[in-house]
Amino acid sequence: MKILVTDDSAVMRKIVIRTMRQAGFGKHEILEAENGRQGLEIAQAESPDLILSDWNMPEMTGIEFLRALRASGSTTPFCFVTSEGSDEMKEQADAAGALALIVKPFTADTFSDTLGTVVSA
Amino acid sequence: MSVFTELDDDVREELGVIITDVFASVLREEAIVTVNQLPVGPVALARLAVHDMDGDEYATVEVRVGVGLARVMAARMMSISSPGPEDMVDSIAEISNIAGGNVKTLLCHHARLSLPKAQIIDDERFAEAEPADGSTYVRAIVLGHVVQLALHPHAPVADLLWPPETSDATLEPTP
Repeated sequence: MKILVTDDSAVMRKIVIRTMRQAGFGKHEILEAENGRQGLEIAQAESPDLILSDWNMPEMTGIEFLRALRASGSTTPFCFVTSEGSDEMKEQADAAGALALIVKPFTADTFSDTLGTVVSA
Repeated sequence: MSVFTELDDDVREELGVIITDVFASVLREEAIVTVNQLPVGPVALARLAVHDMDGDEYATVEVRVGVGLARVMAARMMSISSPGPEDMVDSIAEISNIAGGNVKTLLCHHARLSLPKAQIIDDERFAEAEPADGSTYVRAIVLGHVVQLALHPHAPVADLLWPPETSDATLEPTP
């Protein structure tokens, strides 16, 4: 299984990947992207099975990334991992076809509970 | 009335919860609110802007930690043994990003966040106990170090970068 982690912060990509491992999802291939535009390119080239993405990023935001992905016909499960969890953003994420929105700071349990239905341990 | 000033006790308490939660979860260490001052000397700081679109006003959220703790943070967050200045800057930037997102959710209904900007500076001043500019400070102790979250209602934001606005071009279906 391929999982694409998209975040402009290298630190946060490491934390997300480590948390995935702590949540029991460590055996999967991890791909990384620094912004939505790069994420979209990698998603189209590599066809990941799950995408975890920050919201606020330079070049292309996470919500633009998701909308562009869905507009291209992709149904890849897409989960935001973001520091903002307002109702407005949750509604936007839901309307755009996101699986869920994980708010930072998070725990391994949050990842297990949220992603357990789409990622095998 | 500004959403960034005249914060009541409940909101101040929530800001304390934000700073302790962010540091506790990222560092996996206990963090408790304190009234102690951040020591003067070299600090890693990061700031980002919140634009409240309902009231069309701006504030900055700033997180400061001493360089000693910044080094520990970077080592833990990046799983490296000898973090350099760039690693410390990246780490404090991400901490401020998380804190800023939570502050935005706490205070605003319809707002946007800038990208964080971080640096290491030599600070020789304590924060004022009762700032005249309406700033709010909350502090916590983590690993024996004081960390500080500040909300500055009238701080300049011109040097901060914003994520791109949603453009129709990205929504075009791929042929």
